[in-house]
Amino acid sequence: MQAFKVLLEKVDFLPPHRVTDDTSVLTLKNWVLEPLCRWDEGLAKPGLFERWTHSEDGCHWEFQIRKNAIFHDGKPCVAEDILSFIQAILESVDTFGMKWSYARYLAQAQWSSPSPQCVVMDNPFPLADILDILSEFFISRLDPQGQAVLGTGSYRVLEYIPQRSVQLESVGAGSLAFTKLQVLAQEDADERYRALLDQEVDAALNLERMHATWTPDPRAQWQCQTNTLSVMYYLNCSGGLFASELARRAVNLAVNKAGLIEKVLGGLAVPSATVVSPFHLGWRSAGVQPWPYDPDQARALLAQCDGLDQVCILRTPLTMPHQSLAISQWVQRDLEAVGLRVQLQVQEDRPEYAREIGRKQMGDLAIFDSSPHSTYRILNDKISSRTKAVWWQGYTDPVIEDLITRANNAVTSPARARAYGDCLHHLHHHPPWLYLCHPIEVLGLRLGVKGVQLDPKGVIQLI
Amino acid sequence: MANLLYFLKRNTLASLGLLLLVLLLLMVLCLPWFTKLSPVAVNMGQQLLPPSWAHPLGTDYFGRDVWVRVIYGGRYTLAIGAGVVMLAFLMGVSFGIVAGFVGGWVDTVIMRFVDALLSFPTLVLAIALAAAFGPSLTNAMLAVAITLAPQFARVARAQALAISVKPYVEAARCLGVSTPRILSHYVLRNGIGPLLVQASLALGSAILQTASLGFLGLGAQPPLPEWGADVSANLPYLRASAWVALSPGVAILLAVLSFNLLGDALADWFNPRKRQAT
Repeated sequence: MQAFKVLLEKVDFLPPHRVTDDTSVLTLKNWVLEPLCRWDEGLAKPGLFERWTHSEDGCHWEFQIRKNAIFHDGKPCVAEDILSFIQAILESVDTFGMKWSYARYLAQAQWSSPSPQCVVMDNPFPLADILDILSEFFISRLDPQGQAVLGTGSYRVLEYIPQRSVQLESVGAGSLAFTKLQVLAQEDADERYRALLDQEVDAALNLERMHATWTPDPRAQWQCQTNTLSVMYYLNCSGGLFASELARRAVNLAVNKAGLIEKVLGGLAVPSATVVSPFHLGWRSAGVQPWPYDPDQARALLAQCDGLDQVCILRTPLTMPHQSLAISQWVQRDLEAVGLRVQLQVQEDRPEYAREIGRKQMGDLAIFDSSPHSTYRILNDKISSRTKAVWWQGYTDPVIEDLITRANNAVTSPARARAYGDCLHHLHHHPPWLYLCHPIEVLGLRLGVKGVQLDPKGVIQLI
Repeated sequence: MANLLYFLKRNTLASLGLLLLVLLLLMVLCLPWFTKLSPVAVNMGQQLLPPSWAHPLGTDYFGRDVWVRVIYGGRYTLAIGAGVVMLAFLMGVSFGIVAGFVGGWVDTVIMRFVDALLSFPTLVLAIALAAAFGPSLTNAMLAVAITLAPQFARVARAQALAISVKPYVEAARCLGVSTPRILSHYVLRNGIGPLLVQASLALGSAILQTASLGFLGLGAQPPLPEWGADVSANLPYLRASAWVALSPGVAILLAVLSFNLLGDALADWFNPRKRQAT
């Protein structure tokens, strides 16, 4: 039987202790490895942990490893594998060389395992958000070449050429649509699009990243899926114009997001209303809509602010998010239209840009993307002035701190959804950021292909 | 019995081997009754603690008591050693005795196959077999047994060749005793001495080889306490916390030493000249 051929932007599994939001890598990891819990629109579903129980106060959690979870080299997956992964990730650094936030979330957690199939976490305070955290952990083992490609997932790696290609084969008698997969790397989105239309491949991901405007050609079938990623501007809340909440609300009214999405992003985005996407926990409870485009009201609000005569520094990289420079030029124009003086500063080195933002060298506003699918993580990393984490930009609001604490202490799923909804509702009305949009990702499929679905994290799911 | 005790009394190394083995057996069989600690229960809050009253050999990376793991590991390791030797004994002796007794083309075929197996370094062959079968303790045991079986086959064949021409075997044949009965009651029974010596010496090799496979990740799989696998798992912490890797390593050394000393002593015991000299 011929392999199902997929073109991704990159073919990489990354080192075992690196968490990523890259959709290509996540797609491969989802096929070959397994997350400890599966994230499904804010809620945790069984993954490598097939079930779990917790104490009433949410401080004690017991996770049971799926029966017959066996790595592709034949070794059974036991608690040691998971605990050593967690320990290693707490000690490692992210792609920008910064310590992972997980070390902070789990600083007081005590891990143990009474039996090889059970993992126990004890925390001095409630931590139901552990489920969000665990959904980002994919457990792997190294193959003899030192690649983290031995997992417990539905597909095993037959041949892997880093950065180029990987051949996969389904494990066991399959209910899966495809028994063999051939995944190839093609960095250029336009080339991926061409290869799909020329029927060289069966599927191509991330076609929204094309230089040319993507069009739904009838020679293929298309799936467009709003992503959990938020594209936004950090507003410097610790000084300057945006220390004022009025100014922050004004810029949210000043930018024509619908126009931006249509003209700059080719219609491939939806406007955002708060710090997370519609798929995050709490969004539905928040009951919020994107800020309207109202330059007159923006001017009126700005008129009440001090420091309008000063130049606003708008910082931008060239990539991540996609079309960063074009978006920033659009925002500059809209902000100048309501009376602000805006100077664009471009940083071409993207990793350095991230490090600068981490050091709070963000000018007055700086474009960024927020990728975690956990509402808890975004509030903890970027909003809370209590944690003052690496991505926090000076936003201080005692009301949101109380709401976040309440949400963090909630244990059951409905209680958490309500509590996080309250946080998101508050952040909509008292914005720490200039909310822009959630990108729409495009998956192209050869006509007639079935059993393939793009999920909100941008991952191809094979059914 | 009196002879054996006298022999042991005169043979210091044999006594030492026996004493070591008895101590090891007592430790691995009895001590688990006196501790409530589990060899597999993990407590990440007690990682790599140095030796203390609570943990005489410290704790490993997963916060498990090393002493408890060595004791439980001994149960597995010694049982593995015995199991492997039994398996190798059964395979090797069955083929060797038939080859020696029947002779002719049967002998040629069996012994050339045995020669072929003997031409491989045993550990390399065990690694290849274990890798082919897949990493698990059962497969590792099978692989080691296959590598040890040719030695038993060689000794058994030699014994069968020598015994099959003895008058009492001829007499049994004349009386119409069946071949299987002659093999088991006459040949094996009278040639068992050198085979037992071989078995006792092979026990040490079996433990070492299974531990080596465990060390290479091809034998016992975590969290099963097994000395070789534990040495391997704890090797990264050798510099900072030497006790975690050295403890199971020393246990292997003592076990293999005891079996080798006993094996040598048995060889002397079954050799009438040496026994008389002692």
